[in-house]
Amino acid sequence: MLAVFFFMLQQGRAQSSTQQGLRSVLTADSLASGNMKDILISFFQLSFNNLTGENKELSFNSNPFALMLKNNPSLAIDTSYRKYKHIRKLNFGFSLRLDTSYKFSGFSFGIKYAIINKRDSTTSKWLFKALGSDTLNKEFDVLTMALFDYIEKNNPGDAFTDQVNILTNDNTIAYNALSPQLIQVADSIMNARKLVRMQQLLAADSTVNFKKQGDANFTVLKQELKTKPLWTVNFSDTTYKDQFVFSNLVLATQFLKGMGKFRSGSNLELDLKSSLNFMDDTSYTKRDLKRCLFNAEAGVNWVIRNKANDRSWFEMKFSGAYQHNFNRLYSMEQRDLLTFNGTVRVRLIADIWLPLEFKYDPKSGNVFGFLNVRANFNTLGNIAKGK
Amino acid sequence: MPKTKFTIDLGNTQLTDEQKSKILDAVHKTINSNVKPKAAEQAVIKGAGAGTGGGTATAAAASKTVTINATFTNTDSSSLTATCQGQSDTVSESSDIVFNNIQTPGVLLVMGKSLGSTTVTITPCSNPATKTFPPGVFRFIFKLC
Repeated sequence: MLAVFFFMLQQGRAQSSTQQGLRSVLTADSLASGNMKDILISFFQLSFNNLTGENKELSFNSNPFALMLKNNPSLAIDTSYRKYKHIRKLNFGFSLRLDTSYKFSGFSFGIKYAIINKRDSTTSKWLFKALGSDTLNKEFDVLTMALFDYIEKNNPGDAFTDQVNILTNDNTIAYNALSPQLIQVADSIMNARKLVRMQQLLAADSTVNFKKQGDANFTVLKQELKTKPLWTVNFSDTTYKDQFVFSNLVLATQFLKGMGKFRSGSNLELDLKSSLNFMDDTSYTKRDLKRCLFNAEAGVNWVIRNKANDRSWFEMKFSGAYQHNFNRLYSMEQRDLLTFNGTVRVRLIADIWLPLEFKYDPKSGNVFGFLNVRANFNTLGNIAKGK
Repeated sequence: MPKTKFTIDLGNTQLTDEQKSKILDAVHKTINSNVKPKAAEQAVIKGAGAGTGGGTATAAAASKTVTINATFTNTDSSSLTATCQGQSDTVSESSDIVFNNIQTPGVLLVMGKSLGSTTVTITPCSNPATKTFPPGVFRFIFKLC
C-alpha cells in the first residue's frame, strides 16, 4: 500500500513538472486551503491516517464527475457540466483499516454531498455577476465597441484591427507602445464617451495595460470566493474485519466559512461540524449498532499563504469538541466529554499535505496525537486538458 | 498629359461649334453614367482588400452566411455576444449564432465573459478561424474573408 501511495506521489510530481509554468499550476482549486480539501475534493485524495496510532487507515476519496470527465472530456462542455451538477457536488470514498501490525481490521465506505458550495469558481453566480461589472471593464467594453464601429465604417486596415486585438487581449504590451493611429482614435473615443476611469489610469501611467487591469479584478473576486460558505453532509459506514456487516454508521455535517475580509498572506475560517455515530456496543456479545454518540466541534482554521503565489502552505486549527453518549457507558467512561483539539497542516509539495492532529482532555489531562498524510490529485480543469 | 484630360485627334475633319458641343456632351454623359461609378466601386473594393489581406481585390464584395460557434467548458455560467454589420446576438450556453447576408470581407466582434474556457469558431472563413479565451472577460475582432 505504501508502494502504491508513493507511486501516486511520483505521478503527482511528474505531472507537476510537465506543466508549462507557474500560471497554469495555480488554479482556484490549487489555492484552496488544505482544510477545505479535506472537506470536499475536486478529483481524488489518497490519505494514510493515524500513522502512529492503533487504528491506521488507508483511504481513497474522489469526485465521481472528475472520474467521468477523465474518460469523456466532452462532459466538460457547459451543457453537460450543468446536467451533472449534483454529481459534481458529490464525493465518495472507501478505506482499509489496519491494526498496529498493518493487518486488515475493517473496510469503510462513505459518500458526501455539498448542499452549499459557494467556493466553486466555475459555477459561482456571485462571481459571474460581479465579473466584468467594475467601472474599468464596463468602459473597456464601450471602447472596444466604438473601435469596432470605427473599423466597420472607416476600414483602417488589417494592422489597425490587429492593434485593437492587442489592446483587448494582450496583457503585456503597454498602451503607449500601441500604434499612434490606434492611440489617436482610442483617445478621442475616451474623450467623446467620457471614459473617466480609463483616462485616470492613463493620466497616472501612460504604460498602463487595460487588459491586465481588467483581469486583476477577476483575480480579486476569486480570492474573495475563498471566504464563501461550504456546507456538506455525509454518510459513512465501517464493516467488521471478519464479516461484511456494519460495525459503525456515521451521519455528519460540516460547515466552513471565511471570517472577515479576505487578506492576502493569511486569513481565518470558521469550521463547524457535528455527527451522530451508531456503533457496536462491545459490552454485549451480539453485534449491533446500539451505542450512539453525538459529537459537535467548533473551530477556527488559520491559513497562512505564500504572498507570491497565494498558495496555502501552513494551517493551524484550534477547536473545542463536545461528545455525548446516549446509551450505556463502559466502565470509566464519561457520558459527556469536552476536549480541545488542534490540527497543524503543512504542505510538503503542491498536492501533498501532512496534517498532525492532537486532542487534549482537560479532565484527565491526557493528550492524544495523530499523524496523517494526504495527497490531493489534479483539478477538474487539468483533467479535461488531459494533463 | 494629365489623366483627367481626354484629347482626340480628328485628322483633317473640322467640326462646327454645335457638333463639338454635341460630342463633348455625349462624352461627359458617358463618363458620368458609366466610368465614374465603376471607378468609385473599384476604390471601395481596393480599400476593403487592404483591410483584410493587404492585397487588392478586384472581385465584387460577396454576401455570405456566417456561423459563430461558441463552446464553453468547465463552467455553467457564460455569456457571449457577436456583432457584425448591424446584426447582433447573444448566447449563454454552447451553441451557434448565425448571421445572414454578411458582406465579406469584413470584421466581426465577439465580447463576453465566462467562468470557464471559451472557444469561438467562425465559418466559412475568418482570420483566425478559432480563438480560445481563458476564464474571465473577453473581447476580440475576427477578420472575415
